[in-house]
Amino acid sequence: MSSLLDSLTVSNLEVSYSNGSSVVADINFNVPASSVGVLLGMNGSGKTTILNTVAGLIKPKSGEVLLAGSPLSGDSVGYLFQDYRQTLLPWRSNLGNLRLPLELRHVPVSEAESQVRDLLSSSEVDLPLSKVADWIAGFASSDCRAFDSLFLVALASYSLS
Amino acid sequence: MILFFLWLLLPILFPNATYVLAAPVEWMEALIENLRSSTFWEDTGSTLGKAALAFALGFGIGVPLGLLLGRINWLSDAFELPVDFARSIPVSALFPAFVLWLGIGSGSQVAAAAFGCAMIFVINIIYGVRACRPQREAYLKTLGAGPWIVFTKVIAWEMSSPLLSAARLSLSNSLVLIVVTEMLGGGVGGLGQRIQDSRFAYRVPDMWVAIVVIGVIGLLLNRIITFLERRFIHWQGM
Repeated sequence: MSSLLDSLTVSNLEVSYSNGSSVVADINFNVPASSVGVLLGMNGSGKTTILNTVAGLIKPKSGEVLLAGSPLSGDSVGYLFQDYRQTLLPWRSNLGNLRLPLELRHVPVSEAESQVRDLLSSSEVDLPLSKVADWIAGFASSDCRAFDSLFLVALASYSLS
Repeated sequence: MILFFLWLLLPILFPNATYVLAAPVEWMEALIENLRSSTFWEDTGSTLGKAALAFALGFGIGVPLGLLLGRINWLSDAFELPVDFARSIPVSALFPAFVLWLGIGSGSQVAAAAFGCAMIFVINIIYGVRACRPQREAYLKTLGAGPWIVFTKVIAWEMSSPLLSAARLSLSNSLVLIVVTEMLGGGVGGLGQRIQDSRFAYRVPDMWVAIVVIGVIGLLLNRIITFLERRFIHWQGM
């Protein structure tokens, strides 16, 4: 869990549209390890833009995003999207969705599944995964999808260790 | 069932109608005779083979083209008008051009039908790819996925539904176009040619045998696609 123990630093971040006009500029903040940070701002002030940049989805015009002093690599961020329910892949089962991050790191399917089950059994939310694991996510309840999404964020950080 | 009985009564009720519709007994005789003749099977095989080839070519050309145009904005900006223009031309109107290019025969028939199929695939894939949820792609990117992984894990799946719709349309379209171009005088056999030949010779039962066989083939192809749809995109709805 080393990644959770290191701080996230954003320095001199500037993000611009493709035509060059600036969306956000001069963004500096530091989130210490094991802490919770809040990004507050008016509608349209660029909160999502900043988070998208931290998640590596947008390339900043200038500035940098550092995790424990080194540039953030693409797959080391757990990011819960605003419309997180849309991010689950409806053609996969619940379990199939949960093991996707591990699959992308070339963890064999059977091992990925047992890792997911281990983590689930240690989580405080009591999800009867044995019952819903093979259900197609496209037909899952919205609560179930919300849980899947949250769990995936935790998994993204957890599996780095 | 009612239609079947009406058909049985047809020669008694309207004797003149047998110039248009085959009488049941004659039709059955013609069917058996046709099923026994090797030329009937050659013609059926020829039409099916050409339709399948046209479908495959249309798929091979249309799907990659649709993907490119759907994913790359400047390409679609540049080619939107030409593609819309090309698909607005009835393929039957283009057929003479294909004949001049490839000559009379199977080549021009397959090329014309393949063009028709390719257009269907291109349009459906373009809209299918554009309709992909951007969140899913973004999500995969935060997990460190490159373009190929994004394609195999998300886009290919999202595309599967429009792809199958396009396949359904293309299959019936390729059969229609092959039969039509055969009737327009391809001169190298096939069920379309068979219909024309029977018509000119007033062999009405033979004509109806060919027509019914084409109908049965079309029905079977449609059933196959429906089966595939139910089998592979059962997750639809989210």
